[in-house]
Amino acid sequence: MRKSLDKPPAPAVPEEVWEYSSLKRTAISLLLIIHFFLAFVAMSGNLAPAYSQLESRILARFAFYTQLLNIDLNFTPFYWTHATVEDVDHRIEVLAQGQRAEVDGDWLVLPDVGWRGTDRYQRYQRLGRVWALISPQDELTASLAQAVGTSFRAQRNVIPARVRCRRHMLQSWEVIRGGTPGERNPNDSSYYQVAYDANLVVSRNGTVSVVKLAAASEIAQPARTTDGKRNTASP
Amino acid sequence: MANGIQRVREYLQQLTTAFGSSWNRFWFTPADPETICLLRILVGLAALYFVASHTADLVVWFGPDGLLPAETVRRLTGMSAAGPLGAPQPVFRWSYLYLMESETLLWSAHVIGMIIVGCFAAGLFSRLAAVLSLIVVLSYVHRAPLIVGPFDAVLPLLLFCLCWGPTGARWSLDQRLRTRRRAGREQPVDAAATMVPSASTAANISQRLLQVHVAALYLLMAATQLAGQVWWAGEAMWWLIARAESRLVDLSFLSQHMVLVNAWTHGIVLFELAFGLLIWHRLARPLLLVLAPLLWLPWALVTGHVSFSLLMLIANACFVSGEALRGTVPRHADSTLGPGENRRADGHSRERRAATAAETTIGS
Repeated sequence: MRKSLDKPPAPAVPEEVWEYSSLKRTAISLLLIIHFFLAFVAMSGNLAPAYSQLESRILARFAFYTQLLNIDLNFTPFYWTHATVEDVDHRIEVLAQGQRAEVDGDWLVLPDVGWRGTDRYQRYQRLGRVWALISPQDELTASLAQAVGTSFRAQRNVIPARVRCRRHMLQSWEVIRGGTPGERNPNDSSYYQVAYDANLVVSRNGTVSVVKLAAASEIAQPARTTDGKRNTASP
Repeated sequence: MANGIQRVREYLQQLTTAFGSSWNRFWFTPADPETICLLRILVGLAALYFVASHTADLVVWFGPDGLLPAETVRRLTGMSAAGPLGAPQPVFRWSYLYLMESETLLWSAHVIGMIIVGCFAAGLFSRLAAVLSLIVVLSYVHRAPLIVGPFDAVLPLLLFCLCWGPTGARWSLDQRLRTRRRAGREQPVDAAATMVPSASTAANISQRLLQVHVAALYLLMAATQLAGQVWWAGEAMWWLIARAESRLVDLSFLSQHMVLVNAWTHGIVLFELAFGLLIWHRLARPLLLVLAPLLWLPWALVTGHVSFSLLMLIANACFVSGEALRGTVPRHADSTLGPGENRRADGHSRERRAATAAETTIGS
């Protein structure tokens, strides 16, 4: 530091070498700084569970920019998994009228389309995930349940009687190493957990009504190990 | 005392001059447009896949009796009074698809959207098509934010960056049309001029925007992963392998070799951190670009995120220089330099002078 201080100030870069004028460069630089600042604030929401008051105010003021460009990635976790109940596979299941709820094969399952490596398939899983995530909010989940029921009635000619969203819980490596045959089967019924369950009533004019079966408080909470850490291994 | 103030003043002067020169060199040195032209094709094809992937379920999702009625989405995103946050608040997740209330309108908008994105990929009216493609992709993202995945989140970012550069300068229908027009006017066509587009500052800004966003994305991934205990514990990859309805290959036999799973987990975080920080280093860059497929391809098999993994590999191409793509890299020159870093090798006088002047300033 001392050595550099002893040096004479660096000469300015000649103006004619740049394609853009000084004014244009300054204006673009300012826009770049604003963009990266807002992007940083918006994306920090992916890092922390909630924004600080300052961040919230900044984002509220500049929502027209961050939301419009989808820099505000609230719906997309880039950590992939923290091994919580949110980070498992989700499925939406519809039971048609006259079918038996206790028979797994009688339920129509979403996703039911294509290869699981496609976005088309994964969109249904994501809807299930968001559904489970907001399951305590009865009004919102009811509107989703109604939409699913209406879609099945109008687009698949299925009269829906019940809809549910289930989590497919994960096996721990210990279970695969030394569990019972049932525990080693990843599709065993014990690995499924209901996040939302409702009866659907279809009126004569085709309107679908929703009667929720399980209250949010009755839905199984994430299992915890003895040291309080979240654990999805146990079904 | 006076001497101290003088030194502080000199320091601040040097700091601002050096920073300003570096900033100018980084953002405003003209660069060859080949890289962003290649990315136009690849990102354009990715965008085309994205829009086309909605075709089979277009009415199922967005139709009048679809799974995501407009009103439900508005409430979930807080656009209406009954939103999750209570009071109504301004939400700017605009989408023209909200206006498509009939199936006919919806299909019309979908087909037009695909044509626009196709024009962008082919390089027809590139500048306009880039902006319109961004609007098309964002409209699908904003219409259904509940079903947005990592691919859908990164794609608009890449399109946004490509909006700022001359992406139709090379390998495009625009370039062919320009050549034909010149030939039609019976003007002498300079073969070299049509083959080697001139460097431009806009191309550099576009490429630099891509580079900064991609590097930041890697750092974001690493930082969010390290916020969770399973990534520190080396177990995260297991919990991804164990997702029986997502995985493309069943690697659960690795339960017998948890040390490998631990190494895989730590390796991913390490690579993401290294990419975000060291990609700017001239010597580390080729190595990181070569190693990237080793991260993303197995990742795709485990998580099922094939499109996202391929998109990240496409995005990595923003760190390959135009010279390298054109195959005119002089012997001994680094083939993956960023824009403006090896300008002495060829003959763009303005950029060469800019780079040299900036380097002189920094080196003083």
